[in-house]
Amino acid sequence: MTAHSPAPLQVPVKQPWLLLAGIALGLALIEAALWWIATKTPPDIILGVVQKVFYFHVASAFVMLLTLTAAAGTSLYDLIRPDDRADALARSCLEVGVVFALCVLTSGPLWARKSWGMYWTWEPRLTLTLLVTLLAVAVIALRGLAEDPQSGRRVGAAMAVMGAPASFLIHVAVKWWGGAHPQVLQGGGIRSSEMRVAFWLAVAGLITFAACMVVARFRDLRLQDRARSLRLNLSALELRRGRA
Amino acid sequence: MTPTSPQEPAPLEARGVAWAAGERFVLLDLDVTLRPGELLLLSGHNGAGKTSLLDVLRGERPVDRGAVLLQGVPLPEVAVHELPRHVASLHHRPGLYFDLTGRENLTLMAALCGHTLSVAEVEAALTRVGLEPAAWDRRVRHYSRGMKQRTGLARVLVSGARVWLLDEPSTGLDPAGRATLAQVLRDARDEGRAVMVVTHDPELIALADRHLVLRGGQVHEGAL
Amino acid sequence: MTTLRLTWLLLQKDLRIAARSREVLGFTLLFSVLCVLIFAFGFLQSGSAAVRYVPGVLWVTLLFASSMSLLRLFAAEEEGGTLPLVSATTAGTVPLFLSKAGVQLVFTTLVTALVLPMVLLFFDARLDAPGPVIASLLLGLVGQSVVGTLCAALLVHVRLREVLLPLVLYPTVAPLVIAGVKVTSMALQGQSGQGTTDWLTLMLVFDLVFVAASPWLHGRAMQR
Repeated sequence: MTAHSPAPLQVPVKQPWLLLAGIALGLALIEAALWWIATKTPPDIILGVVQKVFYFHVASAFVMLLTLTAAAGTSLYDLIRPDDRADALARSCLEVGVVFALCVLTSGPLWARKSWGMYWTWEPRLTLTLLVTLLAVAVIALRGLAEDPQSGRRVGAAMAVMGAPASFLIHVAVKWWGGAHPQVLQGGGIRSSEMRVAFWLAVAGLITFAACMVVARFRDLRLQDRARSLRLNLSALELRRGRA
Repeated sequence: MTPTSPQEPAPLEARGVAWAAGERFVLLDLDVTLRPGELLLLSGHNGAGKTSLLDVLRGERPVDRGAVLLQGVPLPEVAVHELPRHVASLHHRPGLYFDLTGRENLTLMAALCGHTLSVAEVEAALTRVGLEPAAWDRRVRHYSRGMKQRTGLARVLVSGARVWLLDEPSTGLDPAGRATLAQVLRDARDEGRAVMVVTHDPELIALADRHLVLRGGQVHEGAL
Repeated sequence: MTTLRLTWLLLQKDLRIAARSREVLGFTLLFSVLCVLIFAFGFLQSGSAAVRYVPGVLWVTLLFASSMSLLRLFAAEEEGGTLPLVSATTAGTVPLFLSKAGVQLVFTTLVTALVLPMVLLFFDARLDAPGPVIASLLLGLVGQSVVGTLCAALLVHVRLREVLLPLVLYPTVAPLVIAGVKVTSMALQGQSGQGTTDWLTLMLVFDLVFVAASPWLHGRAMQR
């Protein structure tokens, strides 16, 4: 950089048409799933209409595990080969993962009240999900508390990697521990094809929507990075002007 | 800044270094060369970035632009475990274990730099910084501030490093202690070490071969 | 100097400091006694019903005591400003990590040696076949030492680390605690066989993964 190069004040920012289209698609799929669940699927013989929470509950859990695993993966990549994009992607996935974990943790008790007779029970999958959510929140909070942003970034990445085994255990918890969660997908619990369509519509809708949220947050973080480097350039200009 | 001869790279050199705290540059377009057998003095107003510069030079903070070269090799490429052998530093905290004795601290710190010291060598270092023998086997926790500072200086001595970076080394020292420090610094220069001292102490300023001032994120020749 | 020799050097140093400030170990032991007593208040019942709480009380007390001593693990380094010196030894960051995990292992083993008999005595539990429980405790101690040291080491430059440490430690070691509780309760009910072996295998796999990955993860996260 030369001594007095002008800072590029006008940064061209492309309109995120693809992202907007993705969000529209995700919302349309979710709408379709809701409509299908409301009109086509039969109410459960025992649980009644509450059973229909299942479609979005399990789909949210899917998305939660996907995003948290992606956060651990991109964090690992960032540790091995430091890359600002990997870092931004890891942060976006982690934040979206927490949002969907909250969806899981609120939709679960609605089902549990009817099915298990209580909102909350000390069951391995439930407890592990809450623990992992807390860990993810701690990792997000940690960045702001670190001595400098770069060390916060590496520490956060290492912690995200450490959480991966616990996320994996959520997945296998019911199989290994027993516990009260029904094994619907493995046990062939979905009998009618209407239910199957509803379930996969919900999964497709939430995955599309979550992917768009990740991309939006990623874009946001990258724009913040760019703004920061512009402000740095400005500070360099001011410092150099002060010397003259 | 005169360039060093190409056949022998400088022990430590900063080239076009920039370092930002948050969104503000503290160091910018900074060049400085530490030469063997030279006592370099650095001063500057509070908040000018003296301590940050020392942190950058000892590899504790990565640079945002430019490079710090250790014998011609950029710092990130120098393996982290090679650094303590070459660069020793003294800061506001002395770098000692408070629950070990002065003697134990020196033996341990030398071992971490890859040297095994004999009892006589440890005692020589403690004597050189003027710590009385009665204190050698007492815990550092019970030392006064000046005694801690002297022991910290002894730690720098036993590291065997060719580059010394000292941040306000005369803090807490009595007049005799300052005289000792001045002698240690003169000896280090005569042994061919590259020494950089951040200080506003007139006694030390009188010793300096070169006096630099940190201003506007750069170093300038001359007094403050 | 080899990694092992440096690790031994640092471990010796930490154990010497621990021996000189015995209060830390003393208070950790005292804390674990208190913890068991408080649990006894919470679950106070007579006869066979109390035995049901033994696995939980045992493992949760160990977890609490372990986080207590983890908070003190880097105290000596912070006090004297020695962290930059020991994290850049001639063998990189691995000796620092291994020595700290070793200290944590020694501390928590001592706590376990006190807590296990105490819990059995207070809750009037009989352990006819102690083999699986001892095995699970050993695996649990190794695992929590490594994971705990990793958490403490990562948080060393982070504000509010006292609050954050449990928040990151407990979810990460949850698999160990769950498995440990299962093995202990099966042993107390006089069961053994495939179930016990499965849980112990899970703990072993967890330990192997973290023993292999933690020093590396620590080194990557601490690099400058």
